[in-house]
Amino acid sequence: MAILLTKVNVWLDVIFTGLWLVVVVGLIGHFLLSIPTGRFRKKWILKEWPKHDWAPPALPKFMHFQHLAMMGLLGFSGMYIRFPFFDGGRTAMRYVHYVAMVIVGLNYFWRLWYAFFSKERDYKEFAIGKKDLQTVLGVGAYYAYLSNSKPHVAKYNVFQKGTYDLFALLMLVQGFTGLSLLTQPILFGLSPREVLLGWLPGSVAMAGAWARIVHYSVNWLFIILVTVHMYLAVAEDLPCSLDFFGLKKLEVDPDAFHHHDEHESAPAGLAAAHAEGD
Amino acid sequence: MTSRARGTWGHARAVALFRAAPAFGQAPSVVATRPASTVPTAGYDLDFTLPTQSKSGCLVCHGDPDLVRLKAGKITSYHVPADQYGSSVHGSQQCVACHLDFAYKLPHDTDAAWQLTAKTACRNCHDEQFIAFGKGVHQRAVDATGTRASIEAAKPLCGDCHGSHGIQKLTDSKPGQAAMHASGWQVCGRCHQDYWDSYDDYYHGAAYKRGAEDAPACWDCHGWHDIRPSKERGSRVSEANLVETCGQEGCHKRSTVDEEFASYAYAIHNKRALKRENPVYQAIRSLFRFIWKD
Repeated sequence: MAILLTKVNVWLDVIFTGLWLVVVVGLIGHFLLSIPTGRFRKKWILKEWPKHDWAPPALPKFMHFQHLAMMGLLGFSGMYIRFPFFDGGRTAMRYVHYVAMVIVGLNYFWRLWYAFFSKERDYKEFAIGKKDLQTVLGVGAYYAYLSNSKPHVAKYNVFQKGTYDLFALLMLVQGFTGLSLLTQPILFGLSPREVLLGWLPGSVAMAGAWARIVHYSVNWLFIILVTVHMYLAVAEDLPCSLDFFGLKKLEVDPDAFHHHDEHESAPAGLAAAHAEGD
Repeated sequence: MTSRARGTWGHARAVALFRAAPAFGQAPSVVATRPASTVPTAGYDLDFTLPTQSKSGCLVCHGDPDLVRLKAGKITSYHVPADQYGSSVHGSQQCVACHLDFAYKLPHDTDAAWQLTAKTACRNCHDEQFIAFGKGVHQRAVDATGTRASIEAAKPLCGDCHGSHGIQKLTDSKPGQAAMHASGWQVCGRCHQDYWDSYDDYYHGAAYKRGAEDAPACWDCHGWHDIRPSKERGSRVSEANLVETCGQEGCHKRSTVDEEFASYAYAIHNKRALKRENPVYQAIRSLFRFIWKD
């Protein structure tokens, strides 16, 4: 079993590294395809970026930036712990990992509070409904250059919603597996690992080894999803990305979607990001 | 199997270990400084009984960085850094405490036993360690002959692992313990190069080689003076003892470790091989080689 565990570890390294490389190459290819299809010219030369009827509020932007910074630190320090690539950094990187974990955890609950209980609660923007599901093929066709128009029924398209919801779920998994890697007896003589995994059959150490595998795999899922997210954020809507980081204020047109029939059904008040091309 | 814990240095282990210093290893060392005279030096008159710290006695000559001699076609240094020796755990000892066969003539070391005597003089004080060493795989069989004799002669003596003039205090000495912990290559790796190279798994070997203070050095798993071959049941890394070894204090919590988990030890020296055997890794490597060549 443990030999299997060893092999699984090697397989994960190989598969996820390979997969990430495939994704990067795929995204480069996707960007290059925007040239013959005319999207490159439209966005990067004619500056016809998606229109917005509502700018992102400050607090979610702050939380997003904080989340990004801490996830970056978690990814970097986590990868160092597994693949030490410079001398003498293990203890420091562990502390970086712990501190970033606490901040990202607090941020997570803050974002949940904002989504469900604040005055501006926006949880509905992330909910996938029947209308969203009906657009799966259309949105997919747009990203695959099979169609020049992207169905627009909400602030985020169905793939965005799915990805962001998956993020929230994966963060829970990552939090659980991450805490279960802690072996210091800080809970009345027991370690978080013993508390969280002690109920499983077999040895706690072995359960911890599998938890590490899940933790490492989810880390790669984050890396791959964020790579795609960053690419699309820039390639599809650079002005909005710049606004998100406070680099350039987003131009807002409250009537942006009243001239387009296909957006009539968009919920009022949503900052509808509209992929041009229609 | 053992209650000896990684990171806790009993008095028994305390004083016989060394610092990873440039002068580590067998003394004298080979240096390329300047051509030495091949003319034999005449006898001299010095009081060798004086304490070494006073830079008198032996250090009148051996404290000189230019003390070299042409030996076997190489320039060999006989310099003993006085400050290094003075700050070592044996700094208060006289030279003849270890160089028991010192003679009032030049050169002192023409006798083949010179190094052997110096490197095993430790036993005169550290008898417990020497007895344990006698039970380990590195103990030489004195009556070996033929091919066996050369194999036996290649086995290390105390000084080969622990060093010589720069041995540092370990008991209650964090710098000494840290230096000892970091000296895996000098102590084991330079003889067991293949095992050193393969010690490359994620959280043990790779981390250790990058200076992780809590990653195990070779002896934390394999043991030290009474080290046994891993295939022998008495070895700390034999299958029968892995649970105890992995679960020792300072490593994995004993109550959480079982045999299944301990068998993960397989990866510690085999991760590289497993990676090389992985078909996807082979394919990616071949692809990169193909692209790189073209």
